[in-house]
Amino acid sequence: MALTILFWNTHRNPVAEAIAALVAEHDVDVLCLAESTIPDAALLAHLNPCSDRPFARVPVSQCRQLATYYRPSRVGVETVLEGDRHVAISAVPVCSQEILVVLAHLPMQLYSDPAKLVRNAELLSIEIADAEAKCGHTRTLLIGDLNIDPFHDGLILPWALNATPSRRVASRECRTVDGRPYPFFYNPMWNLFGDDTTSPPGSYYFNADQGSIYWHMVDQALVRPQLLADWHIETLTIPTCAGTISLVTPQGRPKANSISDHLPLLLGLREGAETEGRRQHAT
Amino acid sequence: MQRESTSLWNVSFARAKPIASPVLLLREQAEYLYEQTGGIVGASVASHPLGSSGAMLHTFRLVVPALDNYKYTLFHISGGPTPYPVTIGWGDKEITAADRGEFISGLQQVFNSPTTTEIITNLMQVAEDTEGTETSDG
Repeated sequence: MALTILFWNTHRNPVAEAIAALVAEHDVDVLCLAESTIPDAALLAHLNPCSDRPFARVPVSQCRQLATYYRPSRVGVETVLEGDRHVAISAVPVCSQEILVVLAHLPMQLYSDPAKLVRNAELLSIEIADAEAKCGHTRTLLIGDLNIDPFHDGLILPWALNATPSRRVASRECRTVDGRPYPFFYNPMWNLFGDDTTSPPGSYYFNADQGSIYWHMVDQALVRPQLLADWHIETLTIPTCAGTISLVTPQGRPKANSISDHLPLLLGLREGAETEGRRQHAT
Repeated sequence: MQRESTSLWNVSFARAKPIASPVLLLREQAEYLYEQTGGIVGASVASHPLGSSGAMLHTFRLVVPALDNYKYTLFHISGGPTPYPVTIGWGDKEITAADRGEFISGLQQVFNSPTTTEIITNLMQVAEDTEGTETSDG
């Protein structure tokens, strides 16, 4: 079985057509939008034109910052735990085992001091741990606009998100600091960072700060090693077009004004072990 | 063994009255919420040590038993080893409370905000709709 998730911070722009094109092109099962101002009815009308596998809004969710949709015919969804900037859903793809999917949109770093950013990540890690305790497993995926780069303390410190770029290191499951175990995330976004990929150098372009590295990878997907025991990452890309709609300028940067200042993030998981060749490449 | 010194502890701990902790106040408010929503929405308080600072974090979550114990994290408070001061983290806002009076004032601000009211009433509606659906099916 497979599960395809699309996350996109749409920058409050009316991009329903582009969203629908991405969903159709990549056969998306779970769609999560940040900063979306598109009313549910309008978006669902774009997503479900004569579809035999229509989308629905994730039940119960009261989160103001995120709008999450799914295909009930492909995946069962239950909201487990949420807050102002995160939603944890139990997702059960048809004929498959349950996965915990945590969707998040953390505050923007431009307006936050570094210590606060680490703290936000730490608070999110506590929410994830509580959602995992409620679900009774750690087959967890975190996807969203974390508003910090993969090398930020909020991503790498053990008491924050504890995310390593190495699958082999993550397979140890946790690291112990001062006698306390902290569970690892594997962060595959490092593989997409910079020029040596078929994707853009990052998901977000920002040059208003003299210390900026211009391209940032603030939109990320992190996976627990326990999820990778039974599933593998089949697809992880930053799309630059949605059907015939280009999401980038001729310079390759996000069309911030007309589309969004962020590019979407597409993750495809497939149940079953990964082939040895892919695994060696990934480590 | 006979002691050669006298006790330097002047406080009678058995008779000292501890200051009511912020967590106790949160638990009491959770009970009031449960009563005032007719048992549809309650709340829980979970405590965690913060690895970054050593402080304690107490998370106040709305809980809806009819929705398989769905939880919504409304706010959290953090503080040191003494009851006060504490900081209330509510959405992107932070409210610092130096004492019990300021803490109560901060909680009133959170509990009575339009956003909180809307979330709780929405959850009550979803819970009632779900219960109705289950009744009609069964």
